Amino acid sequence: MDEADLVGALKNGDSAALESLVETHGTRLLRSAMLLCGNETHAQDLVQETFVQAVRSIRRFRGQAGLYTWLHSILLNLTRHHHRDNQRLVYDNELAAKEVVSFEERPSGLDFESASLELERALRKLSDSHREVLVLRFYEQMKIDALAVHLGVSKGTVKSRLHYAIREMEKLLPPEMNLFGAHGTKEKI
Amino acid sequence: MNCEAFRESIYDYLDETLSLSEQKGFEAHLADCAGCRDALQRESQLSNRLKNDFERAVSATTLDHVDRRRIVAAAERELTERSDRPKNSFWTHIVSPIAAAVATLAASIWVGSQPMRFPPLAPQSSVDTDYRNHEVRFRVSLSSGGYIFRKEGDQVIDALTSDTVFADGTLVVTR
Repeated sequence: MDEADLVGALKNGDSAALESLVETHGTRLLRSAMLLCGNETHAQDLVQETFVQAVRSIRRFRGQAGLYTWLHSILLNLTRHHHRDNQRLVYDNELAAKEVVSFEERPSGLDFESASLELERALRKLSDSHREVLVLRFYEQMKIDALAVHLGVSKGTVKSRLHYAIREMEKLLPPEMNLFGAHGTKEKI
Repeated sequence: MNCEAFRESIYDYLDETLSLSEQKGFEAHLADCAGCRDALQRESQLSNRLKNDFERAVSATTLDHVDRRRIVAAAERELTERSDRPKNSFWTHIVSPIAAAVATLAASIWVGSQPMRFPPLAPQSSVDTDYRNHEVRFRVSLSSGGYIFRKEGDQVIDALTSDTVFADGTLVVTR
């Protein structure tokens, strides 16, 4: 079933189309929600609400953007409300419990799990707008034009936010992960 | 192209969204300026590295079968509710609010025309929409209270009474 057929079936209230929609886009949306809100339980709730709202408003979907982009714009909106409601991000207790190894005790090369934790921790310290722009750019791999449309700001604003968000990540990430460190710029592309 | 314009165009160059003439200008400057070559290399490296890091950070997160079923069930409830709702937004968005406003206005006028008795209570109105028959039924009511006194032995007992009058009406809407 291609996207147009899927949308048509959803507009007709087809349950199988709904399952297909969740199957196709659910995991990617969940991962994006994880990066945006930093908590898997909240991410699950946000993704569920995204699909509920999508079903509610599918008749207004005109296909100007792809279906995933449309779903993501719903998710982004919900995430902003979530942040607004919570005022500030709260650390995930489970995640915090994992951060028991002090920096000095760590091996010089970050392993897979540590690198992920460092990235998540750095993301949590960013402002909402900086976190959004990084997730959309580097996880959703959106180009500047698409980012501007998705965020509803100018291209110049996107570039500026991206620039400052990257500079913040530079400060927040440990040197092993930081490309701007002493060895980073010497690497080949 | 100067260094400032070059650096402002780095993201567009990486996105391959520069026009042909802009790209030529960009690449001409790139060939001449070592500082800007380094800047481009840094951004390109960082982009690739962050893409990998972001992907890797959430690669273990998946929507499993149970999660999918839960989400589908929640969305299906919305589908069911949507199909139960009348499709004609003319009724839900136009007629019902107008009918409610008319009923309230009628209640206010009627209440205003009634002789006031002590103590007057607030008028009530209710609106019931029958989508199938294109009817809006409303009821307005007014209760007026009073006191009754009776004597039992040496005691005087008072009681609050309520006298309620109703008016019903039906609006039939045709298109």
